[in-house]
Amino acid sequence: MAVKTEKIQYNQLPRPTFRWMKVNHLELDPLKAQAAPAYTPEERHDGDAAVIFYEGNQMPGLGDFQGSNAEELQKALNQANSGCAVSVGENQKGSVHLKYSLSEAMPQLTAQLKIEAAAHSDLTVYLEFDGSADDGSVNFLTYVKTGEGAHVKVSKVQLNGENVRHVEHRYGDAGKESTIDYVSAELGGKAAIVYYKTDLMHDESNFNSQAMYLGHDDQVVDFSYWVPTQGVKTNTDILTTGALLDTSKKFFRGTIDFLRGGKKAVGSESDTCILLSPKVHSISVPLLLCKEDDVVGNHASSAGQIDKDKLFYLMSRGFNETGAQLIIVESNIRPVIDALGDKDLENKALQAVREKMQFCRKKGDCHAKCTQRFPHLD
Amino acid sequence: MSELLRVEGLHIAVEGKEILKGLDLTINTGETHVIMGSNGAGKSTLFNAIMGNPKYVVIAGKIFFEGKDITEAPVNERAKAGIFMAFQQPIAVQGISVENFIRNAKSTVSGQQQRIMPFRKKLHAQMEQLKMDKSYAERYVNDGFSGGERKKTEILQMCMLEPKLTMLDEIDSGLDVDAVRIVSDTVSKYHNENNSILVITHHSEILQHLKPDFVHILIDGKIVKTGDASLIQAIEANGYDAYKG
Repeated sequence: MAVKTEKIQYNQLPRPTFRWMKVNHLELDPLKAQAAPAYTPEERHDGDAAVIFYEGNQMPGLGDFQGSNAEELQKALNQANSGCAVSVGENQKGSVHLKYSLSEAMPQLTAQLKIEAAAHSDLTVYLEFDGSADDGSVNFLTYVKTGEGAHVKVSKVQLNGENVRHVEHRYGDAGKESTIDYVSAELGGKAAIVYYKTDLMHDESNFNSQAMYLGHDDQVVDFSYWVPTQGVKTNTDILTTGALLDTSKKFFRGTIDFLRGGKKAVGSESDTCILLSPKVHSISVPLLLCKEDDVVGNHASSAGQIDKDKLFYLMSRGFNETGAQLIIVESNIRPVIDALGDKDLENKALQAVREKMQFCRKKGDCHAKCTQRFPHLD
Repeated sequence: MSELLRVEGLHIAVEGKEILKGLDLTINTGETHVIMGSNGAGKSTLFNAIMGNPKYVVIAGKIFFEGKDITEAPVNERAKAGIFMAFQQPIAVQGISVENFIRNAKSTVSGQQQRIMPFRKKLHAQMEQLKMDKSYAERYVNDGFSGGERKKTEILQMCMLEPKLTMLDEIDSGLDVDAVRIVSDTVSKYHNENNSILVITHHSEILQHLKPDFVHILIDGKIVKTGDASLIQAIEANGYDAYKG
């Protein structure tokens, strides 16, 4: 008799809806746990940013934050093989680059990243995930705390190997008149699962997130956002955009939770997906929860095939169908890639997009690497 | 003069409805032709059919370009052969700058990689002729452009891609008087004995600059009358009703 394996649930909706809709969470098979050696990422920093690597758990209390999956979150808290604290002091400015590479020797990363920006500071953290390991997992907890008037930006490019499961738990606590910005390019891994919760409890605090993806083969990309807003005049802006190839799937769950007292809050969420194959799935659940009446909330989602008029326009300029499709996909995701703010990361993300498009469409016939910003595709 | 384009007995349907009903047209190199006709006569359909828009289904007839049958050729092959269509409503393409877009289009149609600096120099010179600010080269293609700016960008593409046959689909619509003059002057400068121009317009102003060799009146999917530039005055005086069967 076959033994039924208990599935793991990721990215649970904060306010679940009907079960038959199958959108409340993502279910995947459990991963085989392996002991992982202590790990320190490649690091460089500029300006006033301070970086400390540590062992064990140095995260502050996260309240009721459950992360993408409560059990995985506990592992990130208590069994991390990598810990990093990044900070800037008051009125200071700096940036940090961190590169996490999985390898055959270290195929499983369980890590903490603590980011603290004191009042009126400005901190940018660039994250890169890649590596030679085709198989493995990333379980990554990010904590962001901004003081009054501070600004933190986290720019990420995820280029993990083909069978890697990438799970992130991102918790943010935005101070008065402060801003937390996330810009993410999810391009690697078998599954890319990111859970964002940012509390906007202080007046005029802001949360912005832009994420792009390009799903291929049977890859799963899953974004979940929960933004409770209780400060006055808070602002939330969530945007995900991308394209799906082959039999890939994308889930978007965005919940902006306008709590009582959070007057004059503005929140918008938008999810756009280009379907490049009839076998892909794009699920979008943009939710606006409202206990305060003096707020403005917008949500939009769209999923569709390539715009035929745009395809014709591009082909009339000489581009073949694959090239024109790539331009359309790029035009859809390029604003997010351009927002990464680091040319090296931007080029890596673009190159990954082009390789995936060409490789996926030609199934191994062509895997030419193009290093130009905009390639001649014929 | 050699034959550049020949359309023979072309019947085109869009979403099952026949629009072109047996159209014949021959254009030789160096000529400027104008298609005039009332709304819905099939003018833009003809352009889309020549360019190969898959929405426009060929029911019967043939299209030849430089003697080669291109009736079944994909859109990009026609562009590479030297056919260019300036769209009535140009599409915005976010994320790609005008310069990169045209440079890569030029590489594609010419089969030769374009070196950045010489290409940029030429692009800026053409932009100056079109009285376009150079900053437009860095902006996303047509994104946030006014109608007039989009039309100028179409002409900029024409100048840079150097097609053998340029089809201008109501390039003058939405342009003010000065812009019409700038655009038509630029097209006139581009036009020579080695390329041909095919124009759709409802206005005679642009034709004062382009000086057509032939004017065709298209009614209900067929060319019912062909003449020289004097036909334009006749149309203005009598309207299209005089040519309806």
